[in-house]
Amino acid sequence: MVMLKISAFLVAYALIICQMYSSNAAPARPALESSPDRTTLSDYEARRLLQAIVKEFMQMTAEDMEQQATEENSVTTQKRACNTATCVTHRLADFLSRSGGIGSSKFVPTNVGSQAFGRRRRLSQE
Amino acid sequence: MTASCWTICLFLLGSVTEFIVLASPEVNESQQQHPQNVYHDIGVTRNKIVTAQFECYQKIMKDNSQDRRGPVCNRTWDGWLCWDDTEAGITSEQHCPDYFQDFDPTEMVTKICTESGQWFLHPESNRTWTNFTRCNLHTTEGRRTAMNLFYLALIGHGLSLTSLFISLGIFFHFKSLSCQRITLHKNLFFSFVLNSIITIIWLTAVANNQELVQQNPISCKISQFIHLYIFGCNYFWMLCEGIYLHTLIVVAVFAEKQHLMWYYLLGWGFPLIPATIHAVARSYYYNDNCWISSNTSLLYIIHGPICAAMLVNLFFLLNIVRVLITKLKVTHQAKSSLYMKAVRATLILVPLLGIQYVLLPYKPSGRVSAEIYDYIMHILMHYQGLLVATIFCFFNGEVQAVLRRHWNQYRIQFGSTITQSDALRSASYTASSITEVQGCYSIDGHTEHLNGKNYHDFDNAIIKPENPFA
Repeated sequence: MVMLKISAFLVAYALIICQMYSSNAAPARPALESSPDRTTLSDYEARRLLQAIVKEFMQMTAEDMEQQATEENSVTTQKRACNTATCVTHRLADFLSRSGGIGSSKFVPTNVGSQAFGRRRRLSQE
Repeated sequence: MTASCWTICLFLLGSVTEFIVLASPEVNESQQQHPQNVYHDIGVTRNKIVTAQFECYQKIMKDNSQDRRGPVCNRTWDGWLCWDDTEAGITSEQHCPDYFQDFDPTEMVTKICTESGQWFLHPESNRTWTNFTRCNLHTTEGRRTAMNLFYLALIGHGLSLTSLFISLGIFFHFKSLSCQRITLHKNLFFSFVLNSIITIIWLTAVANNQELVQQNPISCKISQFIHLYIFGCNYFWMLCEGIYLHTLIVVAVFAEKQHLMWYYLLGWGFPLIPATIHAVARSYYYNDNCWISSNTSLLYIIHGPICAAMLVNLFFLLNIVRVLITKLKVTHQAKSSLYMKAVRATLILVPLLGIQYVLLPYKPSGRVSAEIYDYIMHILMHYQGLLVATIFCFFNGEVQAVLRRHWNQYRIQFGSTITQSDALRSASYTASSITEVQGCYSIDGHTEHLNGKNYHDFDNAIIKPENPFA
């Protein structure tokens, strides 16, 4: 996705460069009286094109981020656990496995107090 | 004969299971040298945190073009989670991460953005602080509850195994007890035995053994497959009991002998289908370690048919009780006695047919009510074998009669003067209302051999009055 955006950006950039090159060619015909007008229009069109491309790029990024947030939200909040009466043994086994097993005296609760600082605290403690 | 073959095959299956699971302690010993920590696995946890941090920094570097209106807390990485720009005075929330064993991903993390546009500083340490306390607030009591339920399960299955082995011993030893109903009881009891054995093995050797789950050997997935298959057999033999009883009482009381082959197919054969489907689906869609996670809808491949079977049994129970009341009304008995008998019949059949699973079908969402529900369901499930063996063997009038007869013969032989106890006689009254309906000694349904048994019983009755020690 990121690669696709970069490619699109490069394509837009190439188009702008071509346009500018074409604009530079205009002074070669001084005899024509209308040449200044054509140059002005070309510059205006180039800036307009650039704005449109940048706007679209940002919009694509925003949409992508929004989609990611939606997916992430649905994953974290979705509960797909088996909740029927016959599942009590499976839920117990799952909980025992996740909590490190019964009778595990080595279990230490994670420090979430005032001194907790996530990863750095972990590393320094070890 | 067929039952014997099934018995041999399943004993071998149980032996293989036990061998596979017991092989794991060797691996466990080598792992004991490494101290256990609060991470699921230290490498896994670090990897998760580092990945989340990298993604967070990428997010922070993006789109700085946002116009700021008023004070805002800057987006930040707090060491465990990523936080977006937040307006002053707002408290931001996220779900707890699953980095640590004691973090509950269903709980919320909060981070306060103060009115001055600064993230909350903890007064004790004067450092920026995120409130993760709710992540492991309930896990301590959750662990205590899990420990209680674990020992409740082991004790329940232990008692069930003891009573079921005794019951099966009685059923197999006394040939006079052989009839279709007792044969169905034998198969049901045997499925209870296998279920108890595999559940004890699964809870102690797999679920309680984190090193094994981390290594994820194929043997623990095989043991889970066997566990789910035996689990299904247990419930479908309850369905067989329901079908047999319903056919006997409701459809035709004096029906000719039913074909037991269909019961064997339903009880031992059919559960292979959902167990196999679940194994294949689990391999493709949710192939977690040892297939131990319950956070997947794939488990409904197993539990859906089981719940359907229990619903059918509920219908059978209601119909049986209805017919029972109708028949008792014909005899013009007093209403109070009538309904008392109906209530007794219902209470007797609930554990046999597994009705408790449809009366309390789903786990409630509240924390306290969920815990109470867990205790109730664990008792009803793990002690069901003990209850069934007690009601349908020890309180069975026919079993008591046979035991009493053999005890009398024993007393005659050795001249014992022990007085016969009447305690069991009154206790058997509870079960007799069901027993009477399905007597083993009806002449129509028995072979000449069994008729000979009856004749032998008649001889004993004649001799008895002349017993000088009676």
